[in-house]
Amino acid sequence: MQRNFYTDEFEQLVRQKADQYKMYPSDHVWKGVHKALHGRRGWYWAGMAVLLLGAGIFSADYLLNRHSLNQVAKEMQPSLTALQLTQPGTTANTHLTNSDVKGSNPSPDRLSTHVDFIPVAGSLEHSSPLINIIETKTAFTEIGYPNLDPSTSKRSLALNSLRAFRSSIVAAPEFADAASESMMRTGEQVNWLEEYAVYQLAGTRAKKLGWMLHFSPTINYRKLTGSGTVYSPASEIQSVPLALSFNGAVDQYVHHKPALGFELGSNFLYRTSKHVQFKAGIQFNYSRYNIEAYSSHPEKATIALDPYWNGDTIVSYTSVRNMSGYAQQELANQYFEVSLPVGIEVRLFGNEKLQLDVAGTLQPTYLLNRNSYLITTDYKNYTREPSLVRRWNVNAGVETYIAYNTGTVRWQLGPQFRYQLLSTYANEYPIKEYLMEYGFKIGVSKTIR
Amino acid sequence: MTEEAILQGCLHNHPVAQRELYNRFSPKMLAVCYRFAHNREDAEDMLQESFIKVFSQIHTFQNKGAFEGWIRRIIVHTCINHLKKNKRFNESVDIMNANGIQVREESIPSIVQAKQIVECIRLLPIGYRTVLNLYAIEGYSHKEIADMLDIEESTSRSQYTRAKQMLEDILLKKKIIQRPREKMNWLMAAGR
Repeated sequence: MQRNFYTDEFEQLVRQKADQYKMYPSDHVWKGVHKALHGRRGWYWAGMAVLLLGAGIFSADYLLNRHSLNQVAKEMQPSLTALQLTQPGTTANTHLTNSDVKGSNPSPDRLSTHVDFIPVAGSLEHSSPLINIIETKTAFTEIGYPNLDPSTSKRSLALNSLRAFRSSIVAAPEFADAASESMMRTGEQVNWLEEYAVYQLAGTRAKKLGWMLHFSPTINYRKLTGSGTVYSPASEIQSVPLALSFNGAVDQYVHHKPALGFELGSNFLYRTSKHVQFKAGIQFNYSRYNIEAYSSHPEKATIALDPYWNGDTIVSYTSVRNMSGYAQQELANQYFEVSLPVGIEVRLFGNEKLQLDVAGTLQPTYLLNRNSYLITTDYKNYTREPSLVRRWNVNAGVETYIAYNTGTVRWQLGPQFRYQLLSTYANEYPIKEYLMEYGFKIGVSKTIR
Repeated sequence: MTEEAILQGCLHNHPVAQRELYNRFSPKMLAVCYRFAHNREDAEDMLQESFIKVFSQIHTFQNKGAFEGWIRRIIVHTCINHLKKNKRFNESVDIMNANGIQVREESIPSIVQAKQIVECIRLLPIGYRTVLNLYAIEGYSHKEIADMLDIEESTSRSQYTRAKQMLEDILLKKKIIQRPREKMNWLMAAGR
């Protein structure tokens, strides 16, 4: 008895004293907790910043290169003229690769020009046939393609050089006379060059692979439906959900509003023909919509799971009501997703500069994080139930856009629509939610090789 | 800020409410972790892991019992998992039958009594200490302890008996408590 009394007292003393004891944790403990709870947001913004920075560098690089090409073209013209006039022992050897030289419908894509300056041992007379070709080709080019941009490629640069060289000939009449005489004598050489030498040169290979960066501000909403199954206690007696469950017409009982989100991504493009290209890449989606709800005192929230799948009932406590509470509050259902879109783009019509395209993608999607509320199956409350959220999903996207080509860079603008094919929530949850995004896509792509 | 307001704030993932909850419960909960842990650093790791669980699982709190009790359960389970993960609990099981454990008296600080008792508990081999913490202080049954630690219920009982005996010896040596007869005599004298 004495021992029991002592034992109880001993245990009580230990319990009491142990409970009284307090220790104060160091600051890094809270920092670790806070980082774990809120640190991920930083990664989202950092990722977006990196992508935008990449886009910025890409655009700046493109603009600067274009500017420098213009500068080179402008600076080359007077220097070439000076070179030709001061160095009579040097001539321009120009090769024009154009299979349609004799044809009636030449294509500018197949035209390529190489200019290099080679020293000539003899006088200018010996090189006059070449000059003749230069003049012929140059004249052809100017007449046939008056709209060619003289600053966007090496080809244009070469044409400038040719013009400069020709003007140098005109500026020296004695050279022009000599050239005229030589032209008469060496017609056979000219024919040989046109018929053989020109065609022996390799043509440029069509570039097929491209890389694209795109951003879309989006307006997000959702489609809610009931399970479509009518609960019948008699037939489902083995798995009767304990909570009240309505079916269908859920939209009539909730007050949801669309909200802004965005999509940011990057794709590789592979062109298989002039009209079709395939794409695959990665994209990040931030979707959300708003919920009008009411604050209440904590009360029981019940979700009756679909009898077909489980039939259980999830009970939790919540202080958010769908209707009538002591204060109105606005909640946001937010979703952070990463997708791997795979799709096809088809050119409907257009020319080399401007086109109208349509595209479609299928997007396996992984839910990185979410901040979302589910409505209870009696439509009375909103609650959180992470176990019912589906991590993997599939989205489909369609879009149409106007594309504008500037050399190897292509800009595109147009509306897009994205639809979630599977419900946000697991099959057990009888209310189905399908996210929808209406966006306006801005994209830039560059041909790689 | 009331507990209800803190709870609501935490449900909405508000950092201010989370900090408030942390400030309110962390001193007591660190002491719980410290009783289980090998040292203070381990205790702080356990506390951090536990609070991350508390905030991420707070929606599962069903207002059926005290909020502190709910947090405490998470803390205790995290501590046990931590011990299992680090295999420190297993080491202690090997010495579960060791009776002649020498207590270094100089390691017992002679300051306030609560700290003295906690430090004395921490002198026990970790297997004894874990069972004693769970049974005598946290109020778990031997069956629950057996399930938590993956041991037999009888092992839990015997370990507790030995742990209690050893703790008693330590406390007597340090004159933090008195022997039963002395205690009874003292009580009787006080009654007169």
